[in-house]
Order: sequence, then structure tokens, then C-alpha cells
Amino acid sequence: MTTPRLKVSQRSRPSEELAADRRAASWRLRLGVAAVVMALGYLVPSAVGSVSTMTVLFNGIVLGLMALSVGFLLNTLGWVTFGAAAFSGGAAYIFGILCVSHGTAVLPSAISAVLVATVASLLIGLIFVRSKALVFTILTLALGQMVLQLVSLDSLSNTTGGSNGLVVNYHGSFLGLSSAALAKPGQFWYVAWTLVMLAVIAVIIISTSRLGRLLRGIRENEPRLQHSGYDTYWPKVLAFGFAGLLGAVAGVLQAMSIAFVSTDLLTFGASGTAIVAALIGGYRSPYGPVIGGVLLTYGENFFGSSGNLFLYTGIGIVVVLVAFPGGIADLAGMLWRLGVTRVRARPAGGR
Amino acid sequence: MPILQTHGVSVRYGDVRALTDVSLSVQEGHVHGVIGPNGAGKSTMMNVLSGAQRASQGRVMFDGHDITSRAVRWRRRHGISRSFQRTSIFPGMTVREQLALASRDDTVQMRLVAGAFGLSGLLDRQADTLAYGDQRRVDIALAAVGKSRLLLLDEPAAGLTAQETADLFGHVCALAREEGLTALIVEHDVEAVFGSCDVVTVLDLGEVLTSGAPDAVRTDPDVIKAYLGTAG
Repeated sequence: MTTPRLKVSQRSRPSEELAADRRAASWRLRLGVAAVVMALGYLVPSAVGSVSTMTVLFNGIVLGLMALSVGFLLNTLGWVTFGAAAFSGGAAYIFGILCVSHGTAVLPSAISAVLVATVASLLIGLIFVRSKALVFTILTLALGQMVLQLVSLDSLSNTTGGSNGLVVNYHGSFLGLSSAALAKPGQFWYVAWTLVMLAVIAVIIISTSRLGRLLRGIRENEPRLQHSGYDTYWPKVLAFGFAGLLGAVAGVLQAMSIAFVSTDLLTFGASGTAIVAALIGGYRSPYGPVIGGVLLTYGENFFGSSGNLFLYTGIGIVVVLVAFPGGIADLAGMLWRLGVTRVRARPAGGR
Repeated sequence: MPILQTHGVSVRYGDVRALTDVSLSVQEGHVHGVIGPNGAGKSTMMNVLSGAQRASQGRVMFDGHDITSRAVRWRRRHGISRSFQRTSIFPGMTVREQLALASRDDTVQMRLVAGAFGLSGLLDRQADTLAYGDQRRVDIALAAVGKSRLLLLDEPAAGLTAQETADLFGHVCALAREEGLTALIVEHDVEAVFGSCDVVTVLDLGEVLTSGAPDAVRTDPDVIKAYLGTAG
């Protein structure tokens, strides 16, 4: 069957070329900013003297990576997942079990844990992405609770440690870092920061790619996209798998740094914290969830000493989200645009 | 030469018959109008032709091939596209982004269709900031880009003013004439259909009442009796 296209006689394409130039410039700017942020991040351990502050920052960017996983699904597909902990906590447990029960070295354990959790995410995505938004959210909630129950089973406690959790003893080194170095946030920071920023760059690349545009199209109007001849199923599966990958990396980083895995990593609260971090930071920006992760960790650490952690943290969350519904990154973007507008409006040579 | 044919298509919802033994022939390059009162089965027919709904009985032929069991995506990829009775666009995207998506980045074709529907000056506007009439044109432009050979337009003039309706039909007819597209338009605005279409089919209670040139259909006693009324 033939499918001829519309006949065209025009040759010049100024409007499209301008738009393509704008897109290319925007893409270069985003990657340039990411490279600068990444480079600045490597200076953090030398700039921060306090171990406790470094611990907060380390835990903050790891939570931020988990929040990035949640924010990616929220931003590209408009989906809320309550099961992020299933992949981060699940990967942490796989890592711990491989290290403890099988005596696998730390690097292959970490890689295997991330791979298994990502494949699991893709396979689960095959089923979950067929659902509509609300049902999807409930399915992810159910998944999180199932994984939590699974590792808590008495029959598996010899492997998972049951309610006591699992102390992880490392074998070998991880990218030149010994188990002692992994426990020091200032030394483990460089690896964690590199992985977090690679995740941010991957999110930027995907968001500006054809896949990202397709995912936005699904979010905006999936039936129309199908009537435009697109398969909408596999892009959703890929997005879910990618979110699982980000969560898995976050989970393994967390397990490596504290050398301990417990059911706390798999609770609904763990997934909820990632959602809150994504919202506070602003999930529409790839940096927002990371900013949110650091702010929330700092807030919890700060308010925790008062003995009224949930009360004060809750008030902080309400204030931030009511004042800045788009999150801190959105506020930063607004201030940036305001500054640019004022600079442009200033007459040349003016005082 | 017919590009689209239906043979004895029927659709039932339980005991209710939405379409009964509908046979239709749409010639390539024609603008073919379908009119009928509410409940005549017009939208059901559009759903069957676009693949959104399966016929209970009968066959749908496109370009000489039986496409009865083909899915929406297959039909779209082979040139059958549709617009919707309720505007269906990508509200959070600019007009350019969504036309690029629908045309698979065929920027030349995008520009042609945007020009044909008067959207060239709106390409960088986010769709949900456009006036309703402009959104309707975006909806139809989304159907027209991307290897389209047969446009199925479901009440494209719904909610438009008389002038907007005349402009819209003018755009569709010009596109059909100049680019060899075929359009099947289901529409309530009878005068717009009679004034623009090469062939008009009248549906009533799920059956084809008559089909032919606009003047012949307009004066058909059965049509006048069943639909247009004595004043028609």
C-alpha cells in the first residue's frame, strides 16, 4: 500500500531552522550548566570541613537521586509512584545479600544489584504501565508493601536479616575505596556525586530527546498520540525501567555508605520522602529533586534535634509548597529570568 | 477510483443498532460529507473507519485492501488520520512541537499544513493559550500532517462561528484539491457540507438514506422528509 506524502514546492525553511537553532542552543546550554555544576560539586568535600554537614549533604544527594527517579515519572508522564522504595530498597537488599550471603566482592555486588532491580523494574513496568494514572499509583503502593513484606518474612530471615536488618561486610574495594573510605561521606562523595550528576545529565538528554517528547505527548494526550500512529506502550515501559534504574543506584549508594540494610529502606515513608523531596525541589527541573533531597535531609537533621521532627518538618514542607508550588528550582528559574529581563531592559551605558 | 469503501458495516451495542448494513464509497481526492441527525451513527462510523471501534459485521476497504481488523496505529501509519468531535490536541505543547510530533519531524510538510490552516503565526504558542477556533484548526492540522491520504474529520465546525466554519471548510477543500488528499467530513452544519463537498451521504437511524452530488441529495424527497424538513 502506497503512502505518498504531501507534495511540496517551497524550499526555504527559515522558521524551522530558527527553531532548530534555538533547540540546539538550549541543549548546549543545559549540558554546559550541568558540566559546571558537576565540576563545582567536586569542590564540596574540600570546602565543607564538618563531617556532620558532609553526611547531611551525602545523604541529601542520595535521597535526591531517588527523588529524581520519582520526579522523572511525574514530569514526563504525570505519574505518581508510591513504590520508589521497592527499587531503591530492593537493590540495597540485593547488594547486601550478595555481599553477606554469597561473599561477592563489593563492585560486582553493586552492579548486579542495580541490574537486577532495573530488569525487575522493566518487567513490572510491562504490567503496570497498562493502567491509568490512579490505578498505577495504587499498584506501585501495593508493590512497595509486597517487597517490604517479602524481606520481613521469617522464612527468609537467615538471608535478609528479617526485622533486624542486615549488616553488610564488604569484600574488596569499590573503585579504589576501601570499606572504611566508603563509610566516610567526604571520600565517597566523589563517586556518589558523579553518579547523581550522570543521572541528571541522562534525564536532561532523555527529556530533550524524541523519547522525552513522546513521553510528554503521552502525558498530554495519549489517545491522540495513538491516533498519530505512535506506539505508546514501550516508551512508558522504558520510562518506568529508567526510573527503576535511578532508584536502584540510589539504594545501592545508601547501602554502601552505611553498610547496613533494613526494612526502613522499603517502607511507604521512604517512598513518600522521595516524593516530598521531588516536590520541594521542583520535579520539572532535573536539578530540583536533588536540591529537594538536600534541603529535606538538612531540615530533618536540623529539626530532629528538637524532638519534634515531623511537626517542624511538616510545617517547613507546607510553607515551601504553598509559597512556591513549583518548588525551589522553579523559584530559582523565576529569579533568573527576572534578572535577565532587568539586565536586558537596562539602557546601554546607563548608570 | 474509491480510496475507501465499506461493505455492509453494522455495529451493535447489545440490542441497540448504531449502524446497520452501511455501504459507502469515497473517491480519492474528493471531499465527502456525511450528515444526519443526532443518533444517526455518524460518530460510530468515524470510529469504525479510524479503527477505534470494531464493526460487528461487514468489511472496511482502504486502497483496495481489507483493513477491517487493522488497529488505529496501523491505519494511521498507512494514511488514515482523524480529528475529533471534542478538540483533542496536546494542550501543554506548542503548536510547533505537536505538529512535529504528529509529522515525525517532517518540517517541510509541517510548514505546508500549518500554512494551509492559517497556523504559521501561531507555531510557538502553547496550544492551551489559543482561542477555541485556533485549537480546532490545530486538531485538524494534527490529522493532516504525517503521510495522510484520508482525513476523517468528526464535526470539525463544532463550536465555530459561521465565518470560522467557512474558512475551515475552505482550508480543507484547498488542501484536498492542491495536495490530492481525500476528506470524509461528518458535520451538523448542513449548509457548509452542501456548499463544500463533492459528494454527500445522509445517515438516518444508522442506515444510509442516500448518497450523491449535493444538489441531488438536497432535493431528494426522502432526505427532505427525514432530515432537512420541508423548508429545505
